[in-house]
Amino acid sequence: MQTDLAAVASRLVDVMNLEDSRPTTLLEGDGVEEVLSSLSTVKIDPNPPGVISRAVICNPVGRTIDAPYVIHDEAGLILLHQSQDKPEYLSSITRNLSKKGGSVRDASLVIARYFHDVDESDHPDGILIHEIGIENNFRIRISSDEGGEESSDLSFLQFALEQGGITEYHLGGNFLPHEIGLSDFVKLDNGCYPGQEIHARLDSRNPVTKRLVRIRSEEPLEKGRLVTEYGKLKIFTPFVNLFAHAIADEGVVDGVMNHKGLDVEISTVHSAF
Amino acid sequence: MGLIGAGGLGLPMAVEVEIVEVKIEVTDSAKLAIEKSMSDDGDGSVLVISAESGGCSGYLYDMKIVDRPVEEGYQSISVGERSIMIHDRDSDLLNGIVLDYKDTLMGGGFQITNPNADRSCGCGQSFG
Repeated sequence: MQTDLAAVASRLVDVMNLEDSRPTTLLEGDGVEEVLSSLSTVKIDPNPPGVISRAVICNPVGRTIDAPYVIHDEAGLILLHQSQDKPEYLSSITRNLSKKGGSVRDASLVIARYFHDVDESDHPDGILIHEIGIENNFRIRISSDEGGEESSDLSFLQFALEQGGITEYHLGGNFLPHEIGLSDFVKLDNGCYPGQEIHARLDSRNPVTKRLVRIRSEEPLEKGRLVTEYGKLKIFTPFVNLFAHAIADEGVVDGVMNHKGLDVEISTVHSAF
Repeated sequence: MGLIGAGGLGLPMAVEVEIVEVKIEVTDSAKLAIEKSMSDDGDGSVLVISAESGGCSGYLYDMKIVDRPVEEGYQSISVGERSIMIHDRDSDLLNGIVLDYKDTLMGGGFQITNPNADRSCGCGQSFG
């Protein structure tokens, strides 16, 4: 099969061939892990090629702006951004790396290069990258007309809402990492990073009690606050195929509740992919 | 073999950094402090001021006394008998700064006022 390079961008997809068109970046040069760690809520250690890490980047008031998967590669670190657009913090990383001969490159065609350089028949199903996301089994693979579902941003949004993934609605500096299922990635032993003062204060004085929940409803509910018997839910994504995400107060419990005659199912997203 | 193979060369740059001609102001007290700090260093030593990623607000100031960098990409500003050097990559962030020195027991030392900063943290070392 001849690879259509124009159709082959880097894609984060699941076993259903849903595509993710969010940007990817290559960080190359000495000390890339240290530079990325200086902005991340969690330290990124040097690792052998193929290992996957995850960074969480916040603004100075501790709200999440990106949570990229980090693929340790021979060429450097490949960031699979969760933000819809190329994030602004890359400018800061660029300055640091370029002073030492490194660079920050748009890696959106990196997978195309890979498939261009290797015998494609060795990878008929794409490249498996383990330990990413739900069921630890995402794939980066060629987009082709053969098989799979037709890709669209909507289909990925639908998948993420159903399965507990981060979308553009979770980012943009609106939520603490703790509120969107990323508390496992807030480590206060990583020194000073944007938002660290806020996170440290939360850790010592006001632990975050709100949490990310998935809502399933037979009819779409409006964005905004939903008051329940046990607390409030703030719905912040659109409903796609019955599912949406919300931030829930501590008292809100998982289960099915009735809201204006509708059955609304609430389930906690403990760790968002 | 990695995902990219033999390096990432050939991939387009993700971000371009603007380079400007740097002008800074150094107060008299800062000039004296520079002279004092570098009194034991030879003529080939310079003061490098840079902005590193990190800190509470996104960037951290850094000041180092080092041998004059041999690589290209630095701008040199004469301060009396000494030179301050700033990398081109930091030029748009550090253009227009005022370098001061406060001789106090608490919170003293070199201080930078930066017109390009939208915010800074309490310690004065981080800005964004």
